[in-house]
Amino acid sequence: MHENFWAYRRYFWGKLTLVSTLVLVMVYIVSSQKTSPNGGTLVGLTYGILSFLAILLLMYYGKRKRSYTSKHWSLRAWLSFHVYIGIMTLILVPLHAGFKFGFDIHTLAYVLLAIVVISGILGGILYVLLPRRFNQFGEEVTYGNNSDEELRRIIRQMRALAADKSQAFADICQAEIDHGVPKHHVGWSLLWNQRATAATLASQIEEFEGYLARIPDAEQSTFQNLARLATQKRELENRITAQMRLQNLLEAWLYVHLPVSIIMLVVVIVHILVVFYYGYVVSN
Amino acid sequence: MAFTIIRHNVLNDQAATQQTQVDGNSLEIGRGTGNGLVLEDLHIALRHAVIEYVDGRYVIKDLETTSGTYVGHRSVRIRPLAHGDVVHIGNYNLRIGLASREGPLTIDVTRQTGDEGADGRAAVSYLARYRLSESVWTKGRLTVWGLVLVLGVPVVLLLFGNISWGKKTWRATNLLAPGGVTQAHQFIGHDCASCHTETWKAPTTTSCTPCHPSPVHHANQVSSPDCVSCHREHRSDHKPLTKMGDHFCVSCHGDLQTDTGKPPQFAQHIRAFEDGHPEFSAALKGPHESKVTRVKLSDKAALHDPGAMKLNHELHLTPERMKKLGFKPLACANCHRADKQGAYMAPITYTEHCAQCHPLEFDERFPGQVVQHGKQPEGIQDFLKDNFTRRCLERSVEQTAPPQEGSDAGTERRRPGQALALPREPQVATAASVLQCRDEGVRDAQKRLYAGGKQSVCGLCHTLQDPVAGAQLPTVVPPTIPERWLPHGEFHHQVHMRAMKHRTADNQALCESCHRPDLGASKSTQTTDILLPGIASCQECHSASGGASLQCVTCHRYHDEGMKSIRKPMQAAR
Repeated sequence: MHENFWAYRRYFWGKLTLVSTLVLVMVYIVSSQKTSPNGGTLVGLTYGILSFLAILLLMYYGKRKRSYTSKHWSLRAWLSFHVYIGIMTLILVPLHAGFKFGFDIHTLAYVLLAIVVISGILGGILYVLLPRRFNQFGEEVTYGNNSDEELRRIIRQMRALAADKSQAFADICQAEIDHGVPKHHVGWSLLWNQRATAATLASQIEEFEGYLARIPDAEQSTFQNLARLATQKRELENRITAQMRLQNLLEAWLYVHLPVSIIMLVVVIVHILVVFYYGYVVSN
Repeated sequence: MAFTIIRHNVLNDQAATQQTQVDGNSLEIGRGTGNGLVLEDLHIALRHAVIEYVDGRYVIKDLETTSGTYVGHRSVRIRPLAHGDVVHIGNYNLRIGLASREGPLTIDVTRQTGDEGADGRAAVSYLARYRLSESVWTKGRLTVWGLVLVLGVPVVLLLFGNISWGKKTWRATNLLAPGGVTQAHQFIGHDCASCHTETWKAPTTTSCTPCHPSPVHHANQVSSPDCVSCHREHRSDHKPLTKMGDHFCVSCHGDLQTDTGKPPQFAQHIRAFEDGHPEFSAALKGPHESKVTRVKLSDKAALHDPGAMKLNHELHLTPERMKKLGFKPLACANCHRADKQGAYMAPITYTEHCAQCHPLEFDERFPGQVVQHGKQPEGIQDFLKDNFTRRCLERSVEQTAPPQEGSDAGTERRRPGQALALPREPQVATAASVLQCRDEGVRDAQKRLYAGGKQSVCGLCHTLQDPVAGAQLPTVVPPTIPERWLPHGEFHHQVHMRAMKHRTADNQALCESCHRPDLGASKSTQTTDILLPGIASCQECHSASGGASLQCVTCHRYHDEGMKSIRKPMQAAR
């Protein structure tokens, strides 16, 4: 199997993060014997600086991701680093704060960080799990506008068939064109609303046979063609819905991860500014 | 007649206009290909409507369709057309242009929605309706609105101030503080500026001194740290600000420097109670000394109490010797009792602890009458004169037996409990003889009180200084019993007694288990003996193995009053 970013270079970043976290936790435990741990001690400040540097490096990944010409480290190396260091901040920040939280902007910064990291972990897991499920769509399915073009072609053909036909034919044709095509944006509702994607071919055939009675005799044979196109369209729609649902599942976490990360960075800067505004002294 | 049809198309993203001419008196409109104007919309009937030139004007007729024909949004069956009318059929808008009533009719055809890419319009993407990126909630918008929410709410709350419900109040400044303030500072009431006087700077010592005029730690210290460098607020660990870790002390005392550059008085390297802490040093100051000297408890040669008070502990604490003298046996606790707090020993006073066995009787003829304690001999002279004058007047006629030859009753001090020996009575007759009688009595009483060193009433416990030139009476050296022997170490007797109860039920043994276990208070005969336990005694429990606290602040205070608290003269009048 293709090595994913979690397992990059035999979990190099995972191992490094684990060891560093253990060392930092040990230092925390030892230093907390002597003094009540918080962000104002030398150890607490060090953890704070490390956390901030980690956040900056994590944020830099967003820029690096788009820089295709960069030669420093591969993108996979960056992603692996990004994921493991991100998880580490979840522990590093409480070590900085001495595990003391309150209803204030300082804790807010951590809550936002936690949201970012957890959404990131979720995204990371989905990236590993979901692509396998795309296999069900076969080789020809690719990301892009192929499905869109195919749908448009079918609709064009259906419309062409109905051009000179009776109103009954046109109405059925229009109903079939409208069928399943969302009138407005459904991307988000698709995530938690699993639409009926399994309407069986048999039920469609029955539906079309019911229509036949309303179609003038002269148009019956053309209607068979319309029925065939309509069936193709429904199949395509089902495939698009299922495919887009998976694709959206793969992307949805980013709509939390990215905006919250920027908000978090702003709140972290506010946290630092507030602490220094009121006077910061490193104590023993 | 002719109809001009103008259609707007988009070809390869370029807008293009197509103009066609239809001749005849009528123009048929519909979905069917046989119509003069074909509108590709399945909602439109095959033959939908017709525009005719009738009686010198253009009229539109709907051909009884289900979806209808509209002019200016009104459904019409038949209606004359005017310049500027807009006909709606299905998804199409037909704008009518008429130069004159009879003039050629122009129809400008536009489509409301380019849904199906008809007319060569840019193809609509169906997938876009599924794509998250095409949603109203783009990442950019989510970021902006999230920021507005996350920063806006605290700003509004801070502007709004405090929120109260019932007896509780939530203060918006809590949002900025990285933790609450300690209970003692709650009264400041979130008035940040009362401590944070300057922005971008930590509160300075001047923020604290109005309420806490604490003394400096040591006159010779190299530098005085700001209050906040040790006492940190907003920690939300609910520990009092005085709860300091040893590392605060060790940061200086680990390698102690002085501002004079001289080595420190006691120890240069103290890293813990068991690592470098010197032996305790008693603060000693005799009655005639101006300076306090510190003498280590281990320095037996120099360790003497200069307090000018005479006390034989052994005599008082040995039951047999006390019985011999006719007294009940004493224990430490008969004299040494803890103060109200139970921490230190309450001061020993004559009235409370000595008077019962050591009454200051001055003459056997005045049974039960005593001179006032705490006054110098000069001060009690008048008292004696008064007493003897009164007595000599009363006894002016009475003749008593002459004193026995060689008797030294006047100089021999009566032991407490001993029967009073019969005194000599002076012979009284005249005023001069009364005065003589009085003076003799006073002289005898003074002899009894002061003469003969330890044999005298006062000299038993006090050091008497010979009369200075020109004076006749000696001076009692005022004793100096310190309230605290170890001025920089705090101690709590009751806490220790409770903690050590399990060792022995005998209180006496309990006291002696610390106070000179090598000698024992009951074996101390010298008044100069200092019976304080040394550091080794404390370290029996205050050690890694002993289990008792090893923290510096257990015994020491950074802001202690130090030497001020020692050598307060005992309250002599009592």
